[in-house]
Amino acid sequence: MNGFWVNFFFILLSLTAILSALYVVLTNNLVRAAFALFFTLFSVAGLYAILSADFIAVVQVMIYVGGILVLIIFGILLTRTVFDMSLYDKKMSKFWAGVIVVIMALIFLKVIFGTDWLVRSGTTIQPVTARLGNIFLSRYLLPFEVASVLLLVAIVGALFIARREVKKR
Amino acid sequence: MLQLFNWLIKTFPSLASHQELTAFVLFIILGLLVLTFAAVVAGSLTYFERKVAARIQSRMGPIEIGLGGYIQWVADAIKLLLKEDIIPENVDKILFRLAPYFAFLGAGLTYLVLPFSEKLILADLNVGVLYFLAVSSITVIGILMAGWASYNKWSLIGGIRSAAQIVSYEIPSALAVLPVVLYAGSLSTQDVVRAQAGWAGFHWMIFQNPFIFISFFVFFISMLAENNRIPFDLPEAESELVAGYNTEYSGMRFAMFFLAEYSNVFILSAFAVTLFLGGWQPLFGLSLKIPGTAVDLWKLFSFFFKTSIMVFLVLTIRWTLPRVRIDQLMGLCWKYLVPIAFFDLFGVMFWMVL
Repeated sequence: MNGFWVNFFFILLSLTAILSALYVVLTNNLVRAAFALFFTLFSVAGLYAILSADFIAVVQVMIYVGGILVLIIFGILLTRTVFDMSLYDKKMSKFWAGVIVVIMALIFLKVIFGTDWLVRSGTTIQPVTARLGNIFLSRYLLPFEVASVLLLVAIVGALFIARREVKKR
Repeated sequence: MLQLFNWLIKTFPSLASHQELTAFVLFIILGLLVLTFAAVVAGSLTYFERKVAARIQSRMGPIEIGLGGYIQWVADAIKLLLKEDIIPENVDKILFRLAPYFAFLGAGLTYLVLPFSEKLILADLNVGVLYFLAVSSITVIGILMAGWASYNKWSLIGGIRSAAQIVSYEIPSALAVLPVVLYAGSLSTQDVVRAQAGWAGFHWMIFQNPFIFISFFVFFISMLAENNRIPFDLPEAESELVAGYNTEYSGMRFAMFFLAEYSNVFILSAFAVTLFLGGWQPLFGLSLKIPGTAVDLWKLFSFFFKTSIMVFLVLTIRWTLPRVRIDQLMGLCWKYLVPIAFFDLFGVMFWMVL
């Protein structure tokens, strides 16, 4: 439509993403944390859509919300003690954690201020799916195939770990 | 939607100075329209389902309330609305309240890309088919949430079964849609329907190619399983779990789950029609000489006619088949549907290259 609504939804989605992410990290209720991830992942998909990356937005919903989040929740529900669990790890030293956090924050800040950000041109949204497909099968064919082989190996490995040995008599 | 917005601005020049407000009001009105449509479709489907069930079992079905039973579903809805809202003692109150909305969200969002007619579509996204596959998986989060928040073992088992089932059956349903997308050359639902133009249905996707013919059945079966319909309704199997994930729900929250379930029946049929059976492409082509504006109505009618037949098929399956076991359910998905879907995909690729 126009600039006002783009800005409005950008602020709304960013706030939702940040606040729900904070809730995920800070809450002690493991199941609620997993369900709050839904809002984070979904608003990130909305942000992709605002950046006119429609394909990536939909794939984000499909893979992260429909696949990974469901598997996370599934895993949590199958574990034994999900009630009143303290998520604080006593073995972890607060000092070293703080050092790592500061280093990570510095790296992120350097990336944020050091990058030449592309400014989205115009307000109309261009379809990207066909272009993505063409680029994947021409210029980035090798990385694309390497990623596919990696995923295939991961699937076979997961099956190998999960399978049950059938004892021969 | 954008066309409607531009048309509004052009027709009423006084709106041009309040574009933001116009867009906002338009969004709200369209959203309410979709919700109303979903509610009416789901409501009347409950009546339809009870009538079909009654016929199959040699009963009468609802015949008492108003007009020979035709408005039974309105009475049901009012009764559910007026019921006391019971929240059990030990439930996780926030999640318990949120769950029905999530369950409906997955069904409600899919209406956005459903092409009712050539001009009647809320948003012709250029990734429409993928969007449909993506948002319809949100329902499972609502079901898991309801199952966990109910603080009840039957509900939890129902929720977990449902999650396992939906996550598994998403794979064959997505793989079965891919041949159609390859053939149409586009992910937009409107383009998929446009690719099926032709006389009397010989250009429908399902008849274009033997592999897509098989894909249709893979898609249909896995969509039945994704929406927890009998014969795949293990998440709410009454004989094993009391009522599955919605055991603890009553009143309007219970109605929301049923709104989602019956919306899903409509959506499943509508997308089977859109992707495989010609969508709004007019029945009998346009060999019938009908005047200009009636063409759109005829397209709308064709879409709803085919969708109704599919809905009837889904309901008939529900009342004539027994429930499968959980290992048979998983075996059907991984041992039969997924390999068949892959075979179809490769078959269509070879067919298109040769």
